[in-house]
Amino acid sequence: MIKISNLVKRYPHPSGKPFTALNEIKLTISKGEFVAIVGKSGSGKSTLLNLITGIDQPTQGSIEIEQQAIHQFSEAKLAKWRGENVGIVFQFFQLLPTLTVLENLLLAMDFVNKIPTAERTQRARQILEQMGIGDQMDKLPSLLSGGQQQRAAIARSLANDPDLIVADEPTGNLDSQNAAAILSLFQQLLSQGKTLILVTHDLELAQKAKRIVHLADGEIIDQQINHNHDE
Amino acid sequence: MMNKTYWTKAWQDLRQNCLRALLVFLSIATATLALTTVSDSYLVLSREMNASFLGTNPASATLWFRPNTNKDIVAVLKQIPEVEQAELRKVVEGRIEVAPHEWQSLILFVVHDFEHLQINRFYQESGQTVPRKGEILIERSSVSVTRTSEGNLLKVLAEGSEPAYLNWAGTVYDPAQAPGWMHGEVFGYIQPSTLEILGLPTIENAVKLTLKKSLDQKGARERLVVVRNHLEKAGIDIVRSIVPPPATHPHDRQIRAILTILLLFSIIVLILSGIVIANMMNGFMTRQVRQVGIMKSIGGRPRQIVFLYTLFVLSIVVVAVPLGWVGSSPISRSFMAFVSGQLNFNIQNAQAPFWLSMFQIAFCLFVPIAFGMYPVIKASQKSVLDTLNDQGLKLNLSQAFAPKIGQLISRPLLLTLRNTFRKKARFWLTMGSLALGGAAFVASFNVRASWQKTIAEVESKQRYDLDIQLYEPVEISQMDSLLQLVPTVENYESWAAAKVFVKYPDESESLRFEISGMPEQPQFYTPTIEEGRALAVNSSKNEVVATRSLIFLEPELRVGDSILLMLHQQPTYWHLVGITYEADAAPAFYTYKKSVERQLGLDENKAAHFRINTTAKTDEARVSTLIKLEKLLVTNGIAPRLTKEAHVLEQNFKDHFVIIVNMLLAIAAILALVGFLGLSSTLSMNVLERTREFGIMQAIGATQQQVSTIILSEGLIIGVLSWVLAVLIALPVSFGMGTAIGNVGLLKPLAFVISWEAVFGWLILLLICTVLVGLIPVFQARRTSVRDALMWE
Repeated sequence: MIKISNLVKRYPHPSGKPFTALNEIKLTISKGEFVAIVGKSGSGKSTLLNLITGIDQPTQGSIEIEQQAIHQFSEAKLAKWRGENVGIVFQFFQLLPTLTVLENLLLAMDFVNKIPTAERTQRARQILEQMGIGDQMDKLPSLLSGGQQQRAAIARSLANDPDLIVADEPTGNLDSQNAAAILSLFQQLLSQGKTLILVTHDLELAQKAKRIVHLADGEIIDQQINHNHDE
Repeated sequence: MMNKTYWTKAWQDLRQNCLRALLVFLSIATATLALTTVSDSYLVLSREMNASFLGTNPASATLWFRPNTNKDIVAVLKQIPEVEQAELRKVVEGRIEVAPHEWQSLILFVVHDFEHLQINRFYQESGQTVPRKGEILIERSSVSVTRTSEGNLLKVLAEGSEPAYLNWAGTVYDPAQAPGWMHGEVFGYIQPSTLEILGLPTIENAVKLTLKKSLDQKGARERLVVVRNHLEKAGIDIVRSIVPPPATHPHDRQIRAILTILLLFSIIVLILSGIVIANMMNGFMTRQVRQVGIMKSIGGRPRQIVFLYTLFVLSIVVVAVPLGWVGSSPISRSFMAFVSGQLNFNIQNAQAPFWLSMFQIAFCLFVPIAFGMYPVIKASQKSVLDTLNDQGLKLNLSQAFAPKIGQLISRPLLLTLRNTFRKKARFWLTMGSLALGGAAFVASFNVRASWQKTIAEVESKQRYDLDIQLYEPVEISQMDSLLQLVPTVENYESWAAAKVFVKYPDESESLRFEISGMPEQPQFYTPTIEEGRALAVNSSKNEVVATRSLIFLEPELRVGDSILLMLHQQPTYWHLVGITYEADAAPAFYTYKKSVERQLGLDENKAAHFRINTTAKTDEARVSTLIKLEKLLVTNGIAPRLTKEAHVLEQNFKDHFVIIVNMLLAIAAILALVGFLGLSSTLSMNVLERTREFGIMQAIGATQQQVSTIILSEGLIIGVLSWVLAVLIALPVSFGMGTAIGNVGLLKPLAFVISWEAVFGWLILLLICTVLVGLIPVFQARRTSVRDALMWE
């Protein structure tokens, strides 16, 4: 379970008055839940996601994930925790350009050392097959289409078998056909019991989540349970 | 007028790239400093060395004449059309006691008019200008040899007379003499009446003259034959004459060769700094390429874009070059003072010519700008579409490590390897600059090792410790009994020695050399035959071999020639059968002792030259033995002409070479420094360009330590590869430098030796420095948060 209490994030501003990106956020996300965070540009969606993944540190408040206060973790501990427990999918894929698709997955496993060495290649191939890009695994990311790159990015996020997947505008750079395919992959992950947090400004995409959290000016202005969500 | 926005952009670019700009700035300033120092020194030292030498009005020739003539030889010479000036200048050889019973060689110049010197002028340094009867002036470079100071009495023993005391009345500077400390010689200047005190006749027998027309040595010799004919017609009997190599300082060739090597190294330093700026601009333009596209899309023309970025390059170069140029002044002055002090000449004007200063500044500005502008021009010529779509870093997998290889090694290592070779131009420029620095470093040590080996070879061939020459031959049996009285004497050989000169068919004469007559089976010394053959033991002919250094001074002599040697004023005919090479050998002829004895009609049971081996292990112990021998000989009425420790010359040789190696090492250190600045700049650029990648790695679980390891590994891979390349480059460079330095200093290439200490020492230094320079980008990466890294563009 993810428990966010009184979370505040402020950034220094050239005017001298700090800019408040998030203000007094309180949010609880259950294990296996699919939550979409929506809001306009600058509403604080990505900041919230960065704080949940430990990419950024809060100014105030706390974030507890599976009863671990990650806001108190050191950089090194955060990196280890993130590698083992969180899979991140970025809008622009963010695959390492000098490694093949397969190697991108293996690198994530090598860094974290959670999966036994002997099993890594087999596991990476398996995930890529599941993502439908098994035939692309020995190519460099630059040779793949946008949809294929995003599948590869999702595959990488699953490399270390994390419980939590966070995705920042995962379909923002894709056409509707690829976007639908990616969504279908997310549904598969949910069926495997993963917790999924999706940041998007696409309301249609958000409708697929069980819960939709609306952010505006750094505050949660609304939360709605999607009764149409197919559990 | 230039648009203000141009300057604003250049300034902002500079601010945002301050660390790399600082590295480039330092490398250009260092290169300018090195090049300016060496080129200033090259020109000023060559100019001043020859100016100081020519300022003495060096003699074109020296003539020895029979002293019983009543003719005024100077007056006669001045009437000969070819002769410009003439001055009597007798030279007396002798010895000077520098410690009780310890003697050094003394060359005494007898001067008639100290206040109106015309030829071979020297200058007062301190004390009296004109010595009175019984007084002596000492050349400043000999002061250390005397082991005493001005104002004290010097015990002097002139050739063929009794010891006498002369008062050291003043010190002079004589630029025409090789530094006295170098060969353990003392140069003294006395007036003719002092000869009486020394027990020598005051009559003159030598005159120096200058010719009106400037000629080479061969031309001067031919002209001197004409002069001699004039003198002989006037009834003056010329005993012999010498024509020294004209109008150049004795060390001119050596200093030019060494400075040329240093100059080449300095130019390499400047090119390396150009590479560093090219590297920086390459990285900078990679990040700017989209901006170039935007500027083009809003109407910017390539020329305007090039100009915009030229301002950025210029803002670094125009500060770095003048700073390095100004900074070189005290260094080049100190360096010039050191060299001129070593070679005993004064620098009257340390100012480099104006044209040189202009050239240095122009050259040091041009090279980095030319290198730096290449990536700018390349970027400015891309189409708008290409620049806007430029993704920065591209990699062709077929040119990198293939996936199959990738499966054999860990991904972090694979990532490191691929990133190292990702920017090929940058990789080669960085590795090349480090490799050149390393090659210079290793080559300098190789040359030092080559020199040490050459000296060791000399030492192994010279198996005696002491050299004793007497004025008159003594019975070898008598000498044998005396030598047995000194316990540290192990064994000895008796040699014959005499002074000779070559008389050429055109009547011209060579310089004066020693002819050494060795035993038929010498134990202490064996000439190494370089050309021709060794002396035949049972030859009925008079055979000689000449040292390479003699042939260098008398290039007309050829192996196989029949030569006329004047031996004790008597013409003797010899067959030159070979040329020998010894690293430190003075110009000399070698033959067998019996041949000299046969020519001079000497008793074969007598000898005047002894080479002695001792049980002494140190210089001090050998000198102590020499003093005991000196005392013993004098007590027994035997007058030594020369007593010296044979190892002194070798030490001097070693000392001289230390200076050359230190200069080479200083430039090699600068090369290495610029190489490391380049590596630092490259690693820093690589990290900056891949900031987002490092963010991604941390986002997917990499710790900062793992990211740091990847950055440092990239530096280490470049370092190790550059080491391999450096060693490969160092081999021909060492050979070339060893050949050049050997030919200059020793008249033959140095033995080729690889200094493994330098090869592996450079690797260790490289690894340490690579880690140190790699820490800068490591900290740079660590300072950037994951969030900032992911947002990096």
